[in-house]
Amino acid sequence: MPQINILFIGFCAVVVPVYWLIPDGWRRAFLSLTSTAFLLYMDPISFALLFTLTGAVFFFSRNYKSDRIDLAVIMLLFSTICVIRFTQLIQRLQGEIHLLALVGFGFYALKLTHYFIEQRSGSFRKHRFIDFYSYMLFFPTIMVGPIHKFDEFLQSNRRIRWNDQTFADGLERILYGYAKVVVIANWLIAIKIPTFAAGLHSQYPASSVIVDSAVYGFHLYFAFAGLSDIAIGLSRLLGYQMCENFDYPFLSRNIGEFWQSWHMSLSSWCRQYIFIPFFAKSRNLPVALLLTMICIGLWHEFSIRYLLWGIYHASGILLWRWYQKHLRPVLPLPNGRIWQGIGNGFSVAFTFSFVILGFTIPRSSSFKEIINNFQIMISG
Amino acid sequence: MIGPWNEKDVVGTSRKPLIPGKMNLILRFFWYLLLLFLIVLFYDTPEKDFRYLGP
Repeated sequence: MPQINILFIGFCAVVVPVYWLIPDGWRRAFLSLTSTAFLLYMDPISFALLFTLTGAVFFFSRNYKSDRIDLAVIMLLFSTICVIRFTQLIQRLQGEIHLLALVGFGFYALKLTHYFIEQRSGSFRKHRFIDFYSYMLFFPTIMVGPIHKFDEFLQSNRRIRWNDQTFADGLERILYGYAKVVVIANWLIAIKIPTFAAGLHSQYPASSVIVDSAVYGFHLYFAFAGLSDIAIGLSRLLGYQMCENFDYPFLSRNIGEFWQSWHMSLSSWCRQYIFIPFFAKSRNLPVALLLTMICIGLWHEFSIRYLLWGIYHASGILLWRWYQKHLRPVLPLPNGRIWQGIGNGFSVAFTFSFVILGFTIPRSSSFKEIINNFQIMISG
Repeated sequence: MIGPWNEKDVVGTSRKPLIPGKMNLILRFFWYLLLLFLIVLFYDTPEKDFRYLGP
């Protein structure tokens, strides 16, 4: 990832001191300028697309107020996501990976949709184009999120003051982020543990499938949480407070809790803009939940494996809800602190196993491999 | 965020550090130094395909 690149570290080492040295009124413009330069350097095509979409969304969110225009803009954003994801899928199938690799595309498409919907409903205070532009191109979060909200960004914008404690917190967070990515994810989990577990493959095929899924899940968590830490820490160095993305997801006691602590900014976005509107219209919880989880899956990649991953988690949440509603009240569960502690421990272990088994789906490269992996696990 | 020297717990609530005073500063200094050393040591480790976030 570019955040690990020494050039990115050097870029930040120049931008942050200059940002605090220039007069207060120039900071927003400076941030927009540096973010533009950063994205232009990373990928000019991504910049051109982002700039065009940002301008179009800003214009249409203020003019031609009608339901048809609203629908047209949302459909335009949705179809842009679909076209790009389908192109990526076709390229991947043809073996030409990353020909249309737009920097942070998945994240800024969601930010644009959030802005358009909330601006149309009049949720934001009065602001200028430069506020929106600096929000969309905010370089610490453009590549891996968190998918922060515009109103929170505006609020941070008004409160930017030098604070020793915030700056120190930011530095500490960046250090933890790099340690998670470089030491834990890239070295310990991606290299050391698979080498250690290599002996399992021939002797215990079922265990090796489970270990591989666990390695995949932990690598994902530490790499992604580390990159989020870097983004949040860097934002703090610039005086901005960002929302969190992870809150110890592997210690969740149920699958619902897991989705409240795993990639929190994405699940919160999907809850707000997919689940709640669809549930309000249809009053059908299972369908609304399934649709939301499928969207979360397909947001990562247009493929069968991510579609199945979404369905797997939706089924898990529905089963858990059914257990909570129908089975738990009639089960003779013992009371008391000790029993509650044992119950919590069991719940954490069960949820953890469910999540780790689920990672078998996206880590497999084809549908056939998914079936094969589950067959190995069942047959032992 | 983590460690007995921190003045805040994981959710940001202030707390009394388990190891207060000068010892806190010394421990904190060496903890950061250790992390920095590990990062520099393993910085060149090749990155595994990070497919989850998409290209």
